[in-house]
Amino acid sequence: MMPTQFKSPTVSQLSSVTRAVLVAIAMFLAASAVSAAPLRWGADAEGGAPYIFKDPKDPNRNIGFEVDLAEALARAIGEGIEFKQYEYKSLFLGLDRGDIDFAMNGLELTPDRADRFRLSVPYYFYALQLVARRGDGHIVSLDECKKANCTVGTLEETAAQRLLTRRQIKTKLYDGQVEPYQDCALQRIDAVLLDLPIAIYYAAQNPKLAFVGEPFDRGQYVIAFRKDREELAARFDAALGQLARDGDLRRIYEKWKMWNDDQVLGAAPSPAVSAAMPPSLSSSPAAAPAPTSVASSGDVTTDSAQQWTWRRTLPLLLDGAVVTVGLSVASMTLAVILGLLVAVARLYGPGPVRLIALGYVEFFRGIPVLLLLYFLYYGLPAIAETYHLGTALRLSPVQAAVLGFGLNYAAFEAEIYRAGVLSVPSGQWEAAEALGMSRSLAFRRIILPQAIRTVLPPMTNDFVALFKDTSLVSIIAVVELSKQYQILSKSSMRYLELGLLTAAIYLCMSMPLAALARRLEQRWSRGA
Amino acid sequence: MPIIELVDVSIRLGGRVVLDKVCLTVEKGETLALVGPSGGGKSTLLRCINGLVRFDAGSLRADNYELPPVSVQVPTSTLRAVREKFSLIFQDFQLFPHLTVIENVTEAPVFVRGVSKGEAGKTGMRLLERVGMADRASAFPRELSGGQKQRVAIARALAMDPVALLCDEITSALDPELKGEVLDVLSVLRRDGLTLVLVTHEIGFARRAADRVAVLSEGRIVETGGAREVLESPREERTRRFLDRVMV
Repeated sequence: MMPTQFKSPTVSQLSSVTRAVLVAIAMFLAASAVSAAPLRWGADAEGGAPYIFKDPKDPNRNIGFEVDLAEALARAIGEGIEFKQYEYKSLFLGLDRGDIDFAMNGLELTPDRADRFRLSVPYYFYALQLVARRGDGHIVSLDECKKANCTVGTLEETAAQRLLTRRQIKTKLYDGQVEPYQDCALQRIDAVLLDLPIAIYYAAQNPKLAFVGEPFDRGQYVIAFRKDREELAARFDAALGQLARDGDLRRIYEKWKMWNDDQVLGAAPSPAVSAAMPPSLSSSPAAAPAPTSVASSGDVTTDSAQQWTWRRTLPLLLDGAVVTVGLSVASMTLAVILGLLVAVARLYGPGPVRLIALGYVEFFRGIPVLLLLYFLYYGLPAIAETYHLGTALRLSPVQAAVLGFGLNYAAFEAEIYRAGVLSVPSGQWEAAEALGMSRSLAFRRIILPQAIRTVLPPMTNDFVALFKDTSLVSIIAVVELSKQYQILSKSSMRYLELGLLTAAIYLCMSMPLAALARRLEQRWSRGA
Repeated sequence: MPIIELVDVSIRLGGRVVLDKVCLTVEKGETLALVGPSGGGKSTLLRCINGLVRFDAGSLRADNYELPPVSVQVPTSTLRAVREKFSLIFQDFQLFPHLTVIENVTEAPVFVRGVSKGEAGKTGMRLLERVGMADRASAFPRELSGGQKQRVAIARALAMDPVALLCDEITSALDPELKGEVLDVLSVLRRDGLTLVLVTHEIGFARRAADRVAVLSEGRIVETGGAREVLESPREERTRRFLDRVMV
């Protein structure tokens, strides 16, 4: 018999797989690092009506009054503006990092923001609107809410939240503006306090909800820039003035049912602080649009949710799935390489190296990956600034995500590999050395291939877990499958259908992986 | 000139004396059996010869290589060369379970010596024929019986062209009916002129397989001589006691 199949199946095949994966990572990272010329506008399109949100009729498109405004501004200043999806809470961090040139997303003028950022003249005067369940008579005002110990829902990091905190009213905080109204309708909370445009869009159409009292506590929406972008901010100020004078702003706000007599736009620059506005203004009766009239007047603000189609939604979900796969494969590759190094250091390194490796495992295993992502993405650039390192540590969202997950999972992989290597009988070392093999050759050719067989099942576990964990990256402005689901379902209200579809896509990705692992195990079980 | 020569080789582990001034020579082409009670230092002595275990005092020469005590640094290249020339075979085989029979045999020639895979494969098949295992070349170790595994282990050792085989209780883990096939292989190798050092506590095996016997007890060589004369009419009291115990 000819010795045809004595080529070891593991090492040669693994190395070609590793090569392919490395190439994929390189392309993935390169693609994420491309920068574009147009001005980058940061806003959160997730459930962001009527400011900016996915058009339910065509989820490839963002619509909203701020989208219209951005288009008008681009025309007025003669420069392109490109939208960048950014978590609402992180918009100011994004400005600091320089990921975006300006933030325009219903940001209220507040003293501390005016302190830290260059704010534009106001582009809209908002007020707060209290909403409760229809027919729930006992809530007639915020004061009643406090007396009755009601829970009021609102959005994090908003003027409404600050007001509720100041008045010491029991508050429930939400990430998006869809959920508080849903919870109110479902009787999970008693009332919702949010900006009037939001109430008009989400609550006015809901027959279960009703506006309580008049809008109050007026304030201004402004565009935020970094302080060193004065020149750009001044051009925006001028453009806003011009749009107000030409009536463009009014046309936009009328289209979105947001126009009212509060809008004294294009006047003098904004007063420094919204709280400094005369209190008399806040009882102006003109602002409250009758909910019924809004609900009856179709077009942009109503029932667009019915126009939703699979054909347009599926490709967007698949885009998200591609990001999920790319992130998972890149992160796992990093975790495997790093984990192996750490495991070898723990097993065979000299004393201090062993300690460092142990410290690595304990540290990265012990901290939440969410914290790590936040630190890598937002913390490192701040450190770089403190020590004048320029943009050296300014990772792209994808780089930060791959590094974060890679560092975190490497700690788990290292422990798995260590156990796997230790599970190979010491006689195998002796046998390899008795044949004249060096320690490193024995490790690579004899010990490691056997250890890999042992660790394959727990590694598969980790990889599947990583697939799902990558949904955490939405906090650093990466839109993957889960985030895409949240965005699309909020604009279309198809939570169930899209949820099932998204789950199916996740399963389509993880199940072939598990099947591959099973096949490898079966093939290897002839040996070992 | 003897092919292996130990002079006053000693090993202490903690307070315990494992080997105590052992002097021993093995001639080229001869088969020496190391017998004695378990814990007497036989396996340790065997591992000293190919440098897997380093000793504390004394001197050791294996073929052309001088192995000094552990306090003296020896280049790892020397240790590796000694291990290739004096190949160790284990009681529990220690075949590489993730490799096929032929891969087990070609692994060291290809990755230690840099022999081409085709060349190593051809040599490997010849060696497998020699131990009667050529028809199982593409099997994995776990598909083999103990006797077959030990024959593959012998072929694996032979692939590195050793001048001597150091066999550590290589039939002890085998059922009686399987010991025969391994012994047959050894007698063929012996006829071909290979030097063999056999560690065993099986007297029958020693008598059948060896030219000469050395009795090792409590770290000391108690008695050496022709296999028949030592095992049938021992001169030393300690040898007699050991033989009485194992013969029962």
